Amino acid sequence: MLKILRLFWFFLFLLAAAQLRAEQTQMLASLGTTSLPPMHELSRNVDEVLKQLDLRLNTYPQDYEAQLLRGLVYFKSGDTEQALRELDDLLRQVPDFHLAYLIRGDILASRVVPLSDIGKNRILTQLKPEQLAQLEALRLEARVRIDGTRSSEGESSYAQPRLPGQILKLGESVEYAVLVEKSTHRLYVYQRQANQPPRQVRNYYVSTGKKEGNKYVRGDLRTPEGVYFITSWIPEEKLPDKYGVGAFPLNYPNELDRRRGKTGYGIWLHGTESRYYSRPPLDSEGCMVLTNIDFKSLKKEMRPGATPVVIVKKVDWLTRNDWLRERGKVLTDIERWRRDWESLDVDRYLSHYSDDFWSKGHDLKSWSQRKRRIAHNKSYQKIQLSDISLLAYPETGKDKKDIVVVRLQQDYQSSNYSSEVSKRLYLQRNNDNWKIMYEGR
Amino acid sequence: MRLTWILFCPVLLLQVFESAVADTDLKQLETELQQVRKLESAGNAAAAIKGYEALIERYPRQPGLYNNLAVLTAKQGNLDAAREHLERAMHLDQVYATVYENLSAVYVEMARGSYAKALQVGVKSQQVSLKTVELDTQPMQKADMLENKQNRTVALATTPEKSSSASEQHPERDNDILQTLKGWASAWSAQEVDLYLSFYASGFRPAKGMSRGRWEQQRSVRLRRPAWVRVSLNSFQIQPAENGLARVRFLQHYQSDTYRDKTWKELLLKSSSEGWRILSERSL
Repeated sequence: MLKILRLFWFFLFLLAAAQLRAEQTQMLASLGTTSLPPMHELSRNVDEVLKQLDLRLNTYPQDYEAQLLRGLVYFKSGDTEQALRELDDLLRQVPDFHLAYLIRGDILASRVVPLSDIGKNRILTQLKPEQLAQLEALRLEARVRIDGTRSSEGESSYAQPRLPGQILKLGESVEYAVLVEKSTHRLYVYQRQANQPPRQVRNYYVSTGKKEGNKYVRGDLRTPEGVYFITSWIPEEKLPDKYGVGAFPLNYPNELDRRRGKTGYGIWLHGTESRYYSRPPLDSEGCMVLTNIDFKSLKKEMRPGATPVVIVKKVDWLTRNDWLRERGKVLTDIERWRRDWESLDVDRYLSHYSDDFWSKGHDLKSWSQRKRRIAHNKSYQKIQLSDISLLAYPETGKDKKDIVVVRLQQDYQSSNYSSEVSKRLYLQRNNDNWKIMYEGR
Repeated sequence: MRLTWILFCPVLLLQVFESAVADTDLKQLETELQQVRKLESAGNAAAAIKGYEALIERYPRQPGLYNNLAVLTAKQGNLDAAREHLERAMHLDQVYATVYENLSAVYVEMARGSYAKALQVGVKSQQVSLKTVELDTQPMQKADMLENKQNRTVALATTPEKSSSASEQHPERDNDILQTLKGWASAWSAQEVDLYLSFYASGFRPAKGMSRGRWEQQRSVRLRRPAWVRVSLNSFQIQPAENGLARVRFLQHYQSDTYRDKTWKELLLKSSSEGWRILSERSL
């Protein structure tokens, strides 16, 4: 079934010229015998795809991408009248959706001339360089939206539902997490569920940095890959128009980025300039850009200081079993660290730290000395961890490592001191164990 | 694509044959055509082609014959010949040729306008000069068919004639209907999908051949999508229709946070035990 769906999307924009010719021959052939061309196969898929798009519209009535795709499905199935109605209806609601105008133009043009690609036909000629660039950007947006819709079935496109390996656990105070897949330009929203893996609630088309690849230096126009958190909220009134209806700044560069010497700042999740509905896939200076309508719908679920935003090139879709195993392993190692810390056996406690460990003002050596000194004066320690979130770090390139960012609430009590703090740990996989490479507040 | 449909639609072809030939000739042509068709269905393409060629010699102004010949030659893979036959058919049938040409010109211009918006090019006023056809020189049936088509578009473009419903007075019935429509509009405004849908009769037929299920789904999405909706109706004209139904026309003002329009609507209403219910709905 899913294979058929994929094929369907794949053929969505197959050379229309060739298709037209094939259809004619088919029709000519069938007229002699007055039998119908084999359309039933296609129409079954059309119904299936339309059903899925309707489902999207039911859960999110402002899913204008779904309506655009409905138009394309009707177009593909040969019902240009209905396709045109869908597009006209769509454009009444979002009159600045430039891609929709392009597709509408194609639908109209198809009645007269053959189409060889999106926005490619005899009517659309003699374009100025900037118009050509705009056309190219829209074409890319169309492909990304069509492909993205397919890949956003992420979980369901496997026989068994899959879970994102990047979101292993959300703490009790973290209701939602955002996962951005740069290669497909999809932004996923996951919701925490008690005693259940997080659930995907929605996904959106998202524009990213003009240049592909991971961000390293200031001004490289790339969107960073890593585990980030929303730090604050900036309302529309305090922003220039180009940021749209608001912005959520992220904590780029984070502890690991700074350690690695990454530079730059001002990586935000924000809306769209008022005269556009959406922006091309690769268009920002590193920010992630949603349409204003989608941004407003997402805004309700974002909490500055709490909501994680994990940005990856490709999502690791894990089977439920693999996902549970990964998560279980990390949690076990965190619990061992807590227990060993509580035991006041400093050597066992320090065995949980990696050689290249750092914290603010410390390396492993100074950290060890400090911990030994502190433990010396204590008769007991009691440590409770709660609100644990586990977010796996996407690692690409030559310094590939398995890293998990842990955000937790730590309740520390001892014979001479007690505290309650929010902590962030970076764990890295060392052989079969997770070791702490960074610890901080 | 529309062209191919028009040319290859068998029903239409028959009408083209019928309309262009005098009655006596028609019988003759029909018998001969049937013989050729027999050859065709027996799979004797070569003989059928010869048959058509012979017919064309005697009836050179029959576009349908060229078309059918094209079907056969195309089946044999001779697309060049097929194209030639079709071109001749087109030239013979000037009405369709012109309609097709005009339609193409309109599509091209509409497409250009849409592209201009997509690429943010200044849009010039969209004017296309189209060719007219001499309707009265054309055979009766063809002209009729064409007129039907034109009528449809004309009906869409102009406001309906203000036929007065004063001939019959049914104040009570009219009041019931007005109350029903008010309820319908206020359910719509309140974006209460269930209530809104309850105004439609079980026999309601959605337009565009859509299934009831899909229509309901579409309506529920569209009703709920805007942040707010306001629908008000006025200028009612109520007329009794066949089988105790009532036909109501009114001006519908629709407003939402994203869109507003004014349309003339025509509803066909049916009286049931629960009151008046909508049987069909269309924009005029």
